[in-house]
Amino acid sequence: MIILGSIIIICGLLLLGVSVYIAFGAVLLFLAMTGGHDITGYLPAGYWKMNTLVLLAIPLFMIAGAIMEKGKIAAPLVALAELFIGHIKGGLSAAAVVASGIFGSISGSANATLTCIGGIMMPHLRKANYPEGLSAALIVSASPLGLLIPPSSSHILYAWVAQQSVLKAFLSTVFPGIILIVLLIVTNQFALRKYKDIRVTERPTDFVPEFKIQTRQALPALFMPLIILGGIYGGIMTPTEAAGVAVIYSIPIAIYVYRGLTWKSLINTLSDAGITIGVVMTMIFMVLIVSRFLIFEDIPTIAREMVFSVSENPIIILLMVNVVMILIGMLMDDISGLLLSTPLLLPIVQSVGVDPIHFAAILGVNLGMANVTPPTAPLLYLGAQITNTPVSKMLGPTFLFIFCAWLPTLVLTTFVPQLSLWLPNLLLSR
Amino acid sequence: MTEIVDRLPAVAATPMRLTLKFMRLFVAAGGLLMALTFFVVVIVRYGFSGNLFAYEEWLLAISFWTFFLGAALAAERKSHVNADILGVVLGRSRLAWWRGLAVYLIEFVIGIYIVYWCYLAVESEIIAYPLWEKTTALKIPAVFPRTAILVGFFFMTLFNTIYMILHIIDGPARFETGRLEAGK
Amino acid sequence: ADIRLKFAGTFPVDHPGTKMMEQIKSDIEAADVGLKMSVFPANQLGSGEALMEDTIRGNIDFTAAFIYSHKDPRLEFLSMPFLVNNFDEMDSVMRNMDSRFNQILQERLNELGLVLLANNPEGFTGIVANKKPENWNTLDAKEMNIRVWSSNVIKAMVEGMGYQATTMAWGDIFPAIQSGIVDGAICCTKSATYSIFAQSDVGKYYVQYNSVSELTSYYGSQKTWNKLSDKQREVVQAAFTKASDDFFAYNRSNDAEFGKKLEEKGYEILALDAEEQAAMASWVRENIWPTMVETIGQETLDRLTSQ
Ligand code: NA
Ligand code: NA
Repeated sequence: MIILGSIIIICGLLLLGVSVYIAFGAVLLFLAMTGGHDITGYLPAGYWKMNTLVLLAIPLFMIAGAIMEKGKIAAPLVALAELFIGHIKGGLSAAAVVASGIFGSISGSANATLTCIGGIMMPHLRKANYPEGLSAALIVSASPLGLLIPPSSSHILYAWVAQQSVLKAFLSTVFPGIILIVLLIVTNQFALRKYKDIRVTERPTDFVPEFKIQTRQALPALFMPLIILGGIYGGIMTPTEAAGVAVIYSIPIAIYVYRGLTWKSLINTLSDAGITIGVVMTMIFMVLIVSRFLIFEDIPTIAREMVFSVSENPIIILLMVNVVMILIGMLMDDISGLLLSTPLLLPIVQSVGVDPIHFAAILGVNLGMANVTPPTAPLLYLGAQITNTPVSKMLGPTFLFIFCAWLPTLVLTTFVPQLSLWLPNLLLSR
Repeated sequence: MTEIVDRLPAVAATPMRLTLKFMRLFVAAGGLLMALTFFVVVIVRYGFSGNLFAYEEWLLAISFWTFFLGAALAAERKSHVNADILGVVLGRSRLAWWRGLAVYLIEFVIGIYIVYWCYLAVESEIIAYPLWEKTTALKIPAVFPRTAILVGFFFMTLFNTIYMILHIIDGPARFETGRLEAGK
Repeated sequence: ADIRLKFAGTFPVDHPGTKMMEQIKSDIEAADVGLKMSVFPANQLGSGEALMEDTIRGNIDFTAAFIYSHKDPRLEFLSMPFLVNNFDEMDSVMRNMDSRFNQILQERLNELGLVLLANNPEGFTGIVANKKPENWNTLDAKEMNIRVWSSNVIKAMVEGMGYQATTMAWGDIFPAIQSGIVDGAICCTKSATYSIFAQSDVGKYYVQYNSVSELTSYYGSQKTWNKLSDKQREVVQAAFTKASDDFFAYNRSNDAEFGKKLEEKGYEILALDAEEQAAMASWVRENIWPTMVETIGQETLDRLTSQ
């Protein structure tokens, strides 16, 4: 009863267009009316869960992303990608996908990847006559690479909730990310076949000197993954500390090297980032309270019994778990989805022998996709603003990329555990 | 600043403008402080083999204010995440106005409910004196960060309510012409 | 209808402490006095601090966890170093419900709206380390950076013992030791060291200072307690007492056992001899105890030390 009621409230309100945090607030009202809780305990429950340094990695990665965007730190990376494949038909849009992947190794968020890459690539693509809806959808579909390629703020959250190694969780989605890159590019090439008047950039005659110039340009930006990933994997910093160091490193780079920011506009950038952080932390706060009260009502056990009453076959159970996550993902953003589904689904998959790190990858791919799938698709709406393209033009191509690139990646990640386990086991088992 | 200030009567507009400005500065400083602290932690650890004792206690307390004042600003900008698919489908029709009204009303009621239980928690914390909950090392009272949550949700609900009133004042007819921007 | 009691804990799922929670549940339900119990182990409902707060409120009925001093700083007497020196003293001071220690604890908890049911001293907290501390058995400088939790007392003690101290939350310990951000941590009993670190091949040394005891408690909500009948209270108290007895017997007999298991995993255990132990204890009593007056109060200190 409580499950059904909560689901109906969340789905109904979200479809109507109510803010996510309010929808969770409504569930709390419902829970208070059905159970005998003292609602004075709601705030402390969320407060205690949030009162940890681990969580600060999320706002820090968002600040770093905002500084990189305004600081034009992504521009030289894009130029480098264009230099290699810009002269082939479709190459420019492929460069956008590859650049999203490279940028993913600097940034821990999909939003930052989208704003940085989308803001730079879309004008180029328009100028070269690329179809606007398809290109915007491609950029949006590639932006979750910011999460799949380490570091990733959602994996920090997962490791925290599931008590797993952050480093292993990071590495679990590297291969799924690469597969996604390939599938997005291939799908896009097919979709581009009917467009005849796409212009290609000229192949640079003096490739080697050009390459040297562009690489030198990109060097301060490429130094960032070295600091972040090197710092984390080298045992010098925790992921949260690395995120803080990344912010401090990016400020002078943005101001003095790439000259995208001034000290004055830095304040505006920081307070704009603060707004996005407020949005995310409010959702985290509300979801943490809701998920705690769902555990109170023994919902994980009930969910588990429901799943096992249908089948005990691991393949079927994994399929069901994926369907549930896709549904959660349609309704929610990645962070709310992750916080709700981890305590619910991890015990289920673990009891059919799925490694928690393998599940980190399944969850990562699912929730990356969740950010793109309507109706709750923050990246899609953000992408529409950034690329200045109406959502209606993006919907069709977005579904194309979901079906031809995201879903196959998800299926491979789910049923080929080696894809997610090989790398973490190779690098981190001692 | 958004229309929330522009359309407010002058008496209310000035304090509102100042409040928002303060929030923006606080949030910017809070974000920078967060990054700077971790940077210093790393420097002190390797450069000076030292340690910022119990820095997590004050940093987290301040961060709660950063988060929830940021969330208040997000309400002023209408930036909280929602599924805007109906908005895309309905455009600026009369039906969209009614949907907007329904959304505002629900957000108003639930918002007040959230503020209510936040208030209960902060109140119970205050009246527990002298047995105030404090952090282990620096004895920072838990009331301090928890009040941030209450204040944040209070402003979120306040801004939302102002938007709701503007939405009602505009009405379906003016909403449809798209001359005003109050609709969601 | 039956009353459904919510019982929350912080031990990991496969920890003996969680098995004890299950035992308490089945004992209470078997007594058939109109009580059912749901068990929430492994921080499912939150950290020890959060559980304490919700138990005061009556949202949680019973809790098995460390009692933090965030609600009342005077409770920091629970982590007073060298208050007890061995398992016998643990039994007579911490488990005997009539001891001064438990009288004080019961008074403090009652003020907060809680009822103390039993205590579980699990052993002593030692230092898990990746490298062997120099001068580990004296107070001289150790050239070693270890993690401490945010407690002024523990930090002062560890620094007095010659270590460099870094405060770090519990959740960061494992990755920090694994990757070498700190050289070690004061955190765990032998059994916890074995299950958390040794089984993942992390850590090489276990420095055994019998100073701070790892103490968790069974406590309940005053609100719930008031709702129960005399018969029900009797059954509940009996179940918790029995679990505490069994758990203590287990910990006592397994301390040596886990020492052996650690050695099998390649650990070296560094234990003080009686003389060194006494020297360290008297140093702490002279230098650290007086600094605690500020937090726990002179009266508490006097009551504790006069027994
Ligand atoms: Na990333
Ligand atoms: Na979605």
